[in-house]
Amino acid sequence: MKTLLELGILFLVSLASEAIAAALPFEFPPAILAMFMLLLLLSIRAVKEVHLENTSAFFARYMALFFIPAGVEIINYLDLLKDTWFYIILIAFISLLTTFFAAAKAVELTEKLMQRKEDR
Amino acid sequence: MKEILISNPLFGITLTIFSYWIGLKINEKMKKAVFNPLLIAELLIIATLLIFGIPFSAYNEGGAFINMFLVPITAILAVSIYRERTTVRKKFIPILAGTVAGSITSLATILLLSRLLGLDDSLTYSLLPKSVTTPIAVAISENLGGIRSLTVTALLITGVLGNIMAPFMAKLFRVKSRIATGVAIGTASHVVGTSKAMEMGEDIGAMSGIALSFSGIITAIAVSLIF
Repeated sequence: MKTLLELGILFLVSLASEAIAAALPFEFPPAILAMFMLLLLLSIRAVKEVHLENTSAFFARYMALFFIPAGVEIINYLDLLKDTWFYIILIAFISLLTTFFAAAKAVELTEKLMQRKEDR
Repeated sequence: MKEILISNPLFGITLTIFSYWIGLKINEKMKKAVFNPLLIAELLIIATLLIFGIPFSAYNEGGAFINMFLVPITAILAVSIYRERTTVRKKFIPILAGTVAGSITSLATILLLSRLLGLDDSLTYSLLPKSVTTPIAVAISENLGGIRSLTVTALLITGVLGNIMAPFMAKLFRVKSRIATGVAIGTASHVVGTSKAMEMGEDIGAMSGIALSFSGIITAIAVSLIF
């Protein structure tokens, strides 16, 4: 019974997000809107964490499964991949380094600044 | 016989479930990021379709059913963010600074390199969100008009590279703070990198987990502001 209600809440929020995203004056992915809505519902305790326990545990455990068909679609783009695979790996590698560096240094800098402020 | 089997949506669903199960088993045995279960499952399915001459459209009868869950799967991330609210509140400013800097750098690097290499728009849009967690990346890519399967592929490559290189990058860039290490791993290489962060320490893993949700949200907002 509980799991049924959980799924109902989750699907209802997801469905509502599609309608709200369509009504927004700017483009925004419905999925992320749905996440915000659920986070809001949890924060104001309209939905309690226990209400989503089973569903979130199941989806967290097997999340990757749900992306398989979206990934298998690559079979329709094998020609494109043949010409671009090297660029994709190159971009993945370089952006990994720059992103890691920027994120790490920004945190360290912020921590240092906050520390200095506290010391004063 | 074959026609009867593959025309049923259960064909795609069954093939997906068993391929993923095999992927999980291999990953459990090998314990290496390269043996990513999602990657293994995808390759198994593609091989099956090619070997038996089954059209993608037949597989996708069931695949489309699974795709339907992409929005609820993303929404449920809210629960993990909510669970970390105490840590988030304590370290909010450093986490925000790191994920904003990292996400913007990721977008800028990908955009710049795509232009330099002369990649077309649909390819560029497919690559743009590839540093963030799969559900958010797929949502952004689709919204921009990218090819979501390409996004999934690029994101897996990034995750696996990040997983392998995380300890090395922390040393290379002389990152001493454990919070910084965790935030950087989560921002640069989403959940696949986070599994390495967990191995490096529970606190680094938790930070990485928080950072991957933050960077996903920031990337979504930044992209919708820019494009």
